[in-house]
Amino acid sequence: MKDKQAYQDEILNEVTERDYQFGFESNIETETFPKGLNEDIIRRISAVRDEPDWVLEFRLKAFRAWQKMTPPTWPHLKLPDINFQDLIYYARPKPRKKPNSLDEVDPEILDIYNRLGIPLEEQKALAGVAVDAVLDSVSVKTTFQEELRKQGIIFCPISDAIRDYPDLVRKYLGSVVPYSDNFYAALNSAVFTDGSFVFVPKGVHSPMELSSYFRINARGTGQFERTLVIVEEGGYVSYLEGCTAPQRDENQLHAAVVELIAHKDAEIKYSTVQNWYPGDKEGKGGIFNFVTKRGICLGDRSKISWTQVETGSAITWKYPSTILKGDDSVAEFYSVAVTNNYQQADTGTKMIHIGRNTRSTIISKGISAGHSQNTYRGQVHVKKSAVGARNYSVCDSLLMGDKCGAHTFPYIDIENRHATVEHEATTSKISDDQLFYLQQRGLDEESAVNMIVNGYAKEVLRQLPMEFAVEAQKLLEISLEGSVG
Amino acid sequence: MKNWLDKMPKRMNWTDYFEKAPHLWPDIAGRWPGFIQAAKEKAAAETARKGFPHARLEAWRKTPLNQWRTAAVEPAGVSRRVSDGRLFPAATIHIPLTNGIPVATWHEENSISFGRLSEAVQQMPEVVKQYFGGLQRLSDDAMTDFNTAYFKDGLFVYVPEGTGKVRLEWTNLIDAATAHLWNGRMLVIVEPDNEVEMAGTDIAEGEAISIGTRVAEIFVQRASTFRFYGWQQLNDVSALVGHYFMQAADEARIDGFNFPLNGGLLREEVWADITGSGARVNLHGFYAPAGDQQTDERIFVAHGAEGSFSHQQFKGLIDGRAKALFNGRILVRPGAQQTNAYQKNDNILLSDEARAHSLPFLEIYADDVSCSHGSTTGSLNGEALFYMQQRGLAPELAQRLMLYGYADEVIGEIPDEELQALTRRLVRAKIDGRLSSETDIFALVREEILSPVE
Repeated sequence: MKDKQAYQDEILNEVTERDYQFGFESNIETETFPKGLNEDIIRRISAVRDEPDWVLEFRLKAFRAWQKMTPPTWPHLKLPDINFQDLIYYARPKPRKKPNSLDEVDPEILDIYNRLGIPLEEQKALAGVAVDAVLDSVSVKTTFQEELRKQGIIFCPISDAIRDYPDLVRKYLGSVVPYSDNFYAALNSAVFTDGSFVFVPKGVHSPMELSSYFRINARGTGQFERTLVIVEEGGYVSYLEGCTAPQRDENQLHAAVVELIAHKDAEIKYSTVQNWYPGDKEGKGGIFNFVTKRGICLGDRSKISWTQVETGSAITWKYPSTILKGDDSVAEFYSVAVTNNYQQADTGTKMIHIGRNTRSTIISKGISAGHSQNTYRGQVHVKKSAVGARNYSVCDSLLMGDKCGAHTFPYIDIENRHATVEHEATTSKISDDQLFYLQQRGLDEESAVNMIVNGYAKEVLRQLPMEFAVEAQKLLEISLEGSVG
Repeated sequence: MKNWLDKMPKRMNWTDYFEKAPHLWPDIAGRWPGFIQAAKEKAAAETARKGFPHARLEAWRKTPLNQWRTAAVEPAGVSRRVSDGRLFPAATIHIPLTNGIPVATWHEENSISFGRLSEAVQQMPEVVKQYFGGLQRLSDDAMTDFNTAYFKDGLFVYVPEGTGKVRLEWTNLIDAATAHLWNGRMLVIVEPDNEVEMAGTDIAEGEAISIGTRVAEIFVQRASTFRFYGWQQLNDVSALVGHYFMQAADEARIDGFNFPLNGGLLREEVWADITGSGARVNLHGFYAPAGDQQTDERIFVAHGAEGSFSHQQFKGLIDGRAKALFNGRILVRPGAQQTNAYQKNDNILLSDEARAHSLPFLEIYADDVSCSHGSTTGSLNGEALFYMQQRGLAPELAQRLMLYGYADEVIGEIPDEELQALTRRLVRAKIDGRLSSETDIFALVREEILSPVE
């Protein structure tokens, strides 16, 4: 264990002591398994991580289920044929003495990062943000851990949690997203390597935002994070997830699973800014992002709030969902999804009402530009037991250009007559009147569009923690660059 | 003419008809001209290839057919029974159908031609050839293939250019004395500059299972208006799965009103394909399934030309263990700029076992558009109910009044006043629980005209 600690410290220093080179393929050598997926590979993943038997069992069960499954065909996505046997399922960074110079970084990418203003140093400087930097598959180090520890909050890589808190992990892992839930979740359950574990004990209000920066690294590997957040009775946590990725030609697969558990009177706020490499202007390359995110409001009066700003990835397949089991529990979903060039996104949420007087809100804002396709897909399911359930959904889509598509597929299934469910959606372009008005006030067209887009997305952006909101706003502008006129 | 269906086994499960379609097909040969034969042959193969719709298909996920899947039914023969029931007093042409097939023979009246499809292929072969099957391909539902493979005959209506105002009505008597399968077909051509109103009622006679499919293809050409009204009154063990394909050319207008009254499963799939600029499509419906009934309204409006308009308004009231599904879809094809499309779906659940599914879809591939939808599901507004009770109305009456008003938002859109009043009576009777599957709706309408309950 001592060796591991030293090793982690070394990597952490490497990462933190230099400028954060977003988009730069960190030249950290990786211990990489051969391509392909079979029970041997899974046993090796489990062995190299010193996992207890029950984790290996979980993985194998998932793998066997996965083998019998096929990727879903219902999303409004044109998926390339992914050869799942042609991927590397495990890569671990090894320490290396010197980072390479900035010259190797794609200047275009560097420019974007500078404009976003999000070097790690700055993130560190932002008061109250704990960073769990995930480089490829092994979580490197968790900062601020000591302070959290004082409050009884556990915030660590899930691999550490499996080692240090096996009972907790065993109790909750797969309890919200079963290993056989869907094709990508089963794949994740079989091969997951890291992600974060958060546990907030009874009555504790996390004193800071917990933040995890995920990065994809090493050519040809996918990342399979597993995140588990548990908040006990009366607790509160706000969790931030943000991603950047290096520019590359090869498509990369990403299949994460996130599980949230909110006990009685607990609240979880889960925010994501996702700006992975979307592919180039011709639609070449980019990340494939297949994510299963689901939370359960287990106890009465619990609350789960999802906020996402999705601007990256070539393909996004993601439906952060909430099961409202406890009476009077509350769920929210706020989303801005931007697609440009040849990006495709099929994203939305599911609200499953089981408890009495449960309430959910869905605010989704889609923006499509270029040749992209942007789909909102969401379900509101009020079960028979959900007396007095309420849902309010608004799904707006903005089209920029006549080559893109914006689609809205709500599924509203109501089995209780004492429920009230309202859904509305609009699709349109930016109104000429608004543009004219702003231009007439002296703004150029691009600034005018940015202003309108920001106003359009504000309802969602203001749900983000402050530092994320600023970053996200800039991200929208950059993502839509060149789509005007 | 030899009836090929007579050669088939007396009774089969509905699923068997699917699986055996290609084997039975040779028996169909010899009756129709080549292009229809070819279509039937292809459809028979497709029927067998696709198989009976299963619950994993998106289009059938919420519509369990279990009750009918294994029901032994025999093909409906030609019946001499006719219904003279009418709901559209202004109609000057009345076409009685039995099991989807016109009873009377070929007719020409004021330049309008109508009759059986099998006669139309003799009388106006070129017209039939030009239009038959032209819209059906919009859907890949196995039910449309099934219908094509198995239909025996159908209704053909041709309104030539500049005929003007035409009002017609058909009443389809479905033979449910014994368990039957029937497959209705319609081909309606409305040439430019006409105003055609068509009312259609499906009524089942008898208490046995009847399973019906219908494929209607309706062409509405330049600057013509086509308005249709539908009522379905079947018994509670019968099912009707209808596909209504409509095409709207330049400046054409389509208005549709559908009122499923009773039936085990009343499923309507409407495809309005807007191919002309400036076309307008308004589709309305009010459904009130009760008991174990299910209604499905699947409304697909495809905008394929500039400056077109569409509006969908569907409202439902679900009681008992009933289930209602609304799947509205607006598709704006690339280049269909200045599209203005709106869809609205409201559902009220009246019982603890009732279920509503609302799927208002938008699929937009053009940017200069204004498309929106709204959907609400819930119970009656408690405050409004309280207000009315507080003004001295009994709770039951207050609820009834509110439901009447709720339904009237759809009924009030019917332009023909007589039809509006008559539909209001039918729908109110259904709301009041006075219109069951055994009710003679024609008698009910007559009675109520004599003694209105306003």
